[in-house]
Amino acid sequence: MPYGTGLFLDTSIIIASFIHSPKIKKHIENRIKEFTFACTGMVVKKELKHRFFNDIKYLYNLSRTYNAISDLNRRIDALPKQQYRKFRICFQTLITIDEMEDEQSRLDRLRYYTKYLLDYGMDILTKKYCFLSISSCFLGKNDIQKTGNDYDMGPSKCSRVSDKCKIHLFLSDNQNELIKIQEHLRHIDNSEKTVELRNAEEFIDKFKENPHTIQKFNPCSTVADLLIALESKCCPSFYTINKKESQHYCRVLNQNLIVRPTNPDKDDEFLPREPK
Amino acid sequence: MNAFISTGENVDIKNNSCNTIISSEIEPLKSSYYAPINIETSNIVEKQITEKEKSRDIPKPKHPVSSQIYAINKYIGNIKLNVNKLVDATNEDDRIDKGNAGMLILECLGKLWEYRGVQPESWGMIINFLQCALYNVIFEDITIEQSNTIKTIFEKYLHVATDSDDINGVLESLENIGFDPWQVLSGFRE
Repeated sequence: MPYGTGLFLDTSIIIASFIHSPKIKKHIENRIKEFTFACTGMVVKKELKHRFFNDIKYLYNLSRTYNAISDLNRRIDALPKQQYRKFRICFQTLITIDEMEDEQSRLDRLRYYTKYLLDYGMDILTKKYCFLSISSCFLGKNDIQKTGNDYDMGPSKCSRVSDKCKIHLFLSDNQNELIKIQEHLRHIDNSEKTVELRNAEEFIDKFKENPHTIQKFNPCSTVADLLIALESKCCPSFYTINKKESQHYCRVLNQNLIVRPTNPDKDDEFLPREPK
Repeated sequence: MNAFISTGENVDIKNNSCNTIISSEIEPLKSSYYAPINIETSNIVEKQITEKEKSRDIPKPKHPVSSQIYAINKYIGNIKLNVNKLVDATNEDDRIDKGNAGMLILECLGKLWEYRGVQPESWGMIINFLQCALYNVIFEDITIEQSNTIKTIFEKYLHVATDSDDINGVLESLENIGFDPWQVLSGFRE
């Protein structure tokens, strides 16, 4: 289905294009080829750093701490439920390294992979995709800093860099869209609203009340999907794995939504925008 | 008596006895991270290791001794020989020869992998990526373009002194011919 023009890639798609199964990677690659250009945003970059690369760092540190991959697996199994996402990303990585060779070899492979990702992963992504800087997300601007064997992802909360973060200006520029989104969210039945959507609704209220101090509510962490949606509004199509929130934002912003199922045998799902 | 303990991560001493077979210098292997110590001092060293583990220092690779350099060069030479055979077999569309050459290349890569502890990290990364990208390739089905690229990769990047540019070059070349160096990380058993 040739769409032409731009496709916005959200965090889940970029992670999938990196470490998911070859079939999924192929699906994503083919989809991107249908568009004139593929881009993403600084809030996505911030999410990549603090979600994906931070998890890779966790795995890298574990690979240096343990002597056997089975011990490392047990450690990951013991992660608390709140860190399920981390568990899932790490386990997805580990499950495929398992059963290949002896413990030391597997551990070394894991260490090489994770170290390579930490050293060059972000560079590869910034060369591969265009990162739009319209949101002025300060947290996304900084690159991963290497100090000895440690990798510093930079500050993770807007409230800690409120003097440098200009996200309130970006939100002010998109005030009309925010109002439309809030209006749309109000009409959704409460039982169908995810926590993120509820957060977004509340956040827009807070923003309306006091736009200049909005950083203290850490929007990049609490309502990242909303910010990413606003970053993507210049693109007619939005590509994601998680449609729960995106389907609402795309409807308001009049975008085509393309959803990549995690099952590699399934084709992408299309939710076309309404004709004007 | 000599025992082998890790300089950073492994402790192979139990009850003051050595449970690791003492390898000669020719044995590179995982024990290339290891350094010989006197058994009487093992308790002291064990304590030091624990402290070092806490600091998460990565063991620096030892420099290869001459016999190890000889072995590494021998396996690299074998790989290059078999890569040429692979290219010839691909040009002649001889599936059996393609398969044989491919399997020997993988075998030599496996041997080289054992020397990762005495080589720079970038070298180990390259061998890892090559092994992971090639190990489930059906060499009988390989195309002329793929075999020529494999040859270029091994000639250009598989040498003793490697750096980050070499790793990126290997990755790019492998991905350009449809091989996935990340497949070990990304679920090839789907």
